Amino acid sequence: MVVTDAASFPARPDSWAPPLTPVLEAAPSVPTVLWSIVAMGLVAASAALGAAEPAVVVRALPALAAPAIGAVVLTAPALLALHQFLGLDAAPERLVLALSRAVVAGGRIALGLVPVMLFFAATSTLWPVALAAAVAIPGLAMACVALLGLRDAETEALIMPPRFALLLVAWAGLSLAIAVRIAVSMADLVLAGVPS
Amino acid sequence: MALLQLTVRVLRSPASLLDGDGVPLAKLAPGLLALVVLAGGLFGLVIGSYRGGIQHVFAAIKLPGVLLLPLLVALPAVRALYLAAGMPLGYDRLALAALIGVARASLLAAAMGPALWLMYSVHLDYHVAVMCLCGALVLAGATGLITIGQLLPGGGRLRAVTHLAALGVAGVVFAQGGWLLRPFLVRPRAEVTFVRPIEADVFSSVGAAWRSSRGDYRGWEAQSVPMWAPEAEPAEGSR
Repeated sequence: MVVTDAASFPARPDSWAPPLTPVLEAAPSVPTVLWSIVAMGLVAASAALGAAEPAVVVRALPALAAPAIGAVVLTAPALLALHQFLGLDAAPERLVLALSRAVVAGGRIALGLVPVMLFFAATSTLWPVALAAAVAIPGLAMACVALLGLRDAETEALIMPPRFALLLVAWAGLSLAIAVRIAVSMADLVLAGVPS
Repeated sequence: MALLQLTVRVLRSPASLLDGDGVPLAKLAPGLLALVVLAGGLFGLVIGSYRGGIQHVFAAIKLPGVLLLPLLVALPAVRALYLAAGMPLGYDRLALAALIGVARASLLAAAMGPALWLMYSVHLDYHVAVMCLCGALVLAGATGLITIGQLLPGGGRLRAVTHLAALGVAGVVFAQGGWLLRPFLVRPRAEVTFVRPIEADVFSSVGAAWRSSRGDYRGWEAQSVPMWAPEAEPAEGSR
């Protein structure tokens, strides 16, 4: 899929105008996004292997995917709606593209962390800490990639329009709060029945 | 390329090994691995000299493993972090940069070996010996990490944050790997073994060492949990 929207915008005299030449960006394919979600499940399950209980491993599968995807899915409509309401420049497709790239980056990092989690599951009793790291590292990386991508979608200038900056901060705060809320529920689910 | 020539290039101008944008990993990997094994083994030999005897051989065999373990375990995560930061980084380039960095760190550690051996030869206190070992590893490791950073391609965003994250992942794996393959120095009254049983982790040991430094001498084994048996009794004679 090729997304181009810059040509649809007239050049603006101020510094945060969109680029004059069309920007061609390849969007991640649906299977790539799905694989990223699978990778998030894999990294959580790998960390939970340290518990040596199949039930814990199964319950840990959504430990990363649920907060990460949940936060994106629940907040993206609000982001898109407010973005349009505030009359900002980027096309909604570019914002969705930025979010989908963040999901893919999170999945890629999750997949990269699988050997590390397996190593700690096999050589230590640190599986709850490893699971927390398996959720936090890709989650934070996803947030960074999403923020940078959204910013790039809106403007190439160094200083963002204030309205967009406010929107980004609000969206990031809301996403983080939702992700933490889901992560707490996931922690309760994973740790249920685990001997202390 | 002869091993001696490779050693000189790794120490003098590691960037010259990259051959522009080309990544001659297959050509250089055997030589670099040999350097890590030889130099790391030599450093291990020096560490083993603190206890002496068969520990010379044990430490010399294990130390290259500790140095190479992060490459095996953490490289996919490190690459994913750099890709997420927008740095176009292939496995071949990253593996070669990491191998060169580890080889350089190993050579520098080996170069510090004689000074370390001299200190160990005067029957240094165990804790001072550990601190000397840590100091040597930090010096060599920092040089290796800087080398790796210089050999990676430019570009990308949040580069410093990505470097720190990659360092964190590799550092944690290195620490746990070192803990897994312990003992290296061996406490004066402890039994010499090739490796200790798998129990607890490096962080609990650091916590116990911190408590000990404050006068609380409960060993970490007092709170250790045997692997794969959460309900079992604490391991006996674990140290």
